[in-house]
Amino acid sequence: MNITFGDNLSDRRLVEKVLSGNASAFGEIITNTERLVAQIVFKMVNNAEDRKDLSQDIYLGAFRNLSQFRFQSKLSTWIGRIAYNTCLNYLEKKKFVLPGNLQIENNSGEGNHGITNNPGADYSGYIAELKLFEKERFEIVRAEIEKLPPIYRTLITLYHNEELTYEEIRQITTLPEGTVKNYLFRARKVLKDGLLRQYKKDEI
Amino acid sequence: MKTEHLTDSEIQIYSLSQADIEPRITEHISTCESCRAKAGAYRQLFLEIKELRAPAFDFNLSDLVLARLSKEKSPVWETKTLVYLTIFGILALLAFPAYLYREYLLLLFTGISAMFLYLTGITALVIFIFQSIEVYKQYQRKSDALNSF
Repeated sequence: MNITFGDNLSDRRLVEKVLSGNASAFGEIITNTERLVAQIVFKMVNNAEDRKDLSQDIYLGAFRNLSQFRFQSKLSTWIGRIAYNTCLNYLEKKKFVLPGNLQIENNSGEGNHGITNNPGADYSGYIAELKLFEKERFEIVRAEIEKLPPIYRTLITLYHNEELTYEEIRQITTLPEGTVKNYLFRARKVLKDGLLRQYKKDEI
Repeated sequence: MKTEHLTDSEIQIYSLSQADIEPRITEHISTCESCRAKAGAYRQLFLEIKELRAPAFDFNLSDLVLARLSKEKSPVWETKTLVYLTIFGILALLAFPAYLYREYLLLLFTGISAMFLYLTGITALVIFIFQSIEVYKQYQRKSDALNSF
């Protein structure tokens, strides 16, 4: 578990304040954890109105269950877990198909790049191209991430954007660590292939 | 040939700069232009994701939540108050008749041997302790279940 002493002390102080009846201290908890919650909610829910309702439900749920928090993880991780479960319940109610598998192209599977003639040239060109158009490339990456199923989007964001550890992601999603790694591997590969495809399309 | 190149997961591990990279992977990357380029593409991708601006709500979440919370008191405070009131109520219910009929209550214990009184008292105490332990264990189990949510 990745808990720093400072974080734990600060969490404990804030939780004790809220539990003793100081509801405004909960505002500080919201401020401290809002970014992570937004990352999860935005990656899993597309509708803006639903995001507004869900984000409030997440924190109301956290407030009502705060006395059950045992400091076995960071407070932000615990609230992230509530956010993830709330969004997951929402997706299930909306009958969204949750991903089991993410299609990975056969021609570039394990052990075979699928690019055998002068293989390095494609990627080197791609990297050079991406470095040239910074603004566009962010939009392309963002668009490619949006194409992923919600859980993959969330995992990619938590690991690469929020820089959480596998253990923290496991605590938030309750997925086994092996599954987290496997999903991340698939998502990265799909993203990389998608970006390469995009580059090739633009080149034509 | 398939075996000439690293697998995609090996290249990802290399690109993530993880501590447990096998020497053969590093060695292969240093000599294979294809794998090196692919690792470069991954690193570029990771860098771009890292630099993506985090989304933010276009409303003041803290204000909205606190406004809703102001309508409901702290559940812990309510629970504690309820527990204290219940205990006080039970004690009052027991104490009032006990005070009123104290003389008759004392008569109940006269004419009974001290040994019998001690045995009854100790038995009741032991049962009470075991019941308390069981109740506490149940509370812990429920608490752990809630906390694992």
